Amino acid sequence: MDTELELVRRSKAGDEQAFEQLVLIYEKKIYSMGLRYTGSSQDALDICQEVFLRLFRFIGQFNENSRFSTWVYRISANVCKDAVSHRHADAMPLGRDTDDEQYSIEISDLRYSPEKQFDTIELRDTIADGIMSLPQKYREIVIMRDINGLTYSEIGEALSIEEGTVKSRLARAREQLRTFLSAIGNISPNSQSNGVKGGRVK
Amino acid sequence: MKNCEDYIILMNMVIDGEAGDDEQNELLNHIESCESCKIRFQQYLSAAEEMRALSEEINPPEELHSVIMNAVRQPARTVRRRPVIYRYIGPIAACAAMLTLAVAAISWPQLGRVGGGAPPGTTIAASYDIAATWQQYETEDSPEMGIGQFEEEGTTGISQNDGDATLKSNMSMAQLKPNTESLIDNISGLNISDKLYEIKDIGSLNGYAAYYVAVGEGELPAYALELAANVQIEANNCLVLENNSETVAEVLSGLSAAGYLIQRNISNLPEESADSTECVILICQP
Repeated sequence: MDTELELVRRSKAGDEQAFEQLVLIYEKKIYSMGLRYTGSSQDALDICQEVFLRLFRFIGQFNENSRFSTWVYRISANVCKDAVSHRHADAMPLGRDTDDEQYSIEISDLRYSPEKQFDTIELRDTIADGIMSLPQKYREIVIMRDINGLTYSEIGEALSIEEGTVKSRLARAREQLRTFLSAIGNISPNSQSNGVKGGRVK
Repeated sequence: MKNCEDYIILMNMVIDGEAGDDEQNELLNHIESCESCKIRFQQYLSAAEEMRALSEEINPPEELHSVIMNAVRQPARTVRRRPVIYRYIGPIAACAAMLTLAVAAISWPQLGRVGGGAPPGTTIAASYDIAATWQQYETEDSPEMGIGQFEEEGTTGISQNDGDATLKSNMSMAQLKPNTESLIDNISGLNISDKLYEIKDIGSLNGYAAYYVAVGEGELPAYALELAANVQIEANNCLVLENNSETVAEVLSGLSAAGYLIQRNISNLPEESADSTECVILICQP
């Protein structure tokens, strides 16, 4: 079976079957990214088409200096941004889109907070709404990490930002998400069981 | 000594497997003695776990793969999310499309179709100095071309101020005299040229998603300028706009309707970048 790099090289040489193999590898990932980015299955489908059209068109320019997956996600992030921009879905983010250099989280003392006992029944659905509520630059970070499973290094490479910025944005994103879920009343410490499924807690 | 805020990034690093053993132990020691951070950490874990479970539950539509491959296999076909009146006119199909151009706009299949109008603050951070020489020449494939040739130099300088989102330009195309006869011959109602042009010394304009050249006279159409960001009309050089097919098609069609010849067949345009979200239309007003 061909490695991904071999598929890329064959695709660059015009092998459509090899490109189709790459589509199979990434189509669900990009669809998931688009769906969580826009909240719309139709937009996610559109995003997939656009991403793979761009990949198909520009794959000859992929210079193999970076991972192909990083390149795919970089293009995907751009297409998602275009889609969100078009729909003006980002017009009223819940959180402030502040500079990372001024990163600061006002943390509350949760010992006396009622939300720690919140219901978890609809948590998953609410999380989807929570993702949509995030400002774009936080949303893309959360999606790349939790939906696509990219490492901080890969995210930084895909978005052309420093790894420290990835950390601070992700922290802010999750805090805003936590605040959102708390406000809705759908988060509880008890919903976490044995570590993070799909995560890499040591 | 760290305060609770300092542990938030560390919490995320632990959740994501990005923390070392020492860092992980440091956090665990802290949350053992800090009930508030313990609750916050567990909430982060809950949300992250559900996020990832949410991802696993996503079931793309059955037609996803076929839709993608159909689009890829028909790159010349414009795929659109929303109904628009634009019609793709390829160089080869130019004659067939002649009758429709008057009412239809041009769209380019290689451009993105997702997205909307160019944001009003679109800028380019860099400053460019371009010495452009246009040369139209015959090609082996098109011996009938090159009714006349021109090669005149014009100094082009585009300076762009990203601070106030203003595109300033002092591009001088006055010296450029495209072969009007061949242009007319080429227009034939289409305003699209399939002739091969060459622009020298435009390497500094690299990094954009797509490049076009519009050759013509007269005012740039307001309709097009509404969609292109921050253009200094008097300077007549560049329109910078978001690279999505609908916006680009609208701007190009506006230029075309105003009598500009849209050139895509430029031999030495900079390499197009898949990463960029902006494209450039070089305006030549001879």
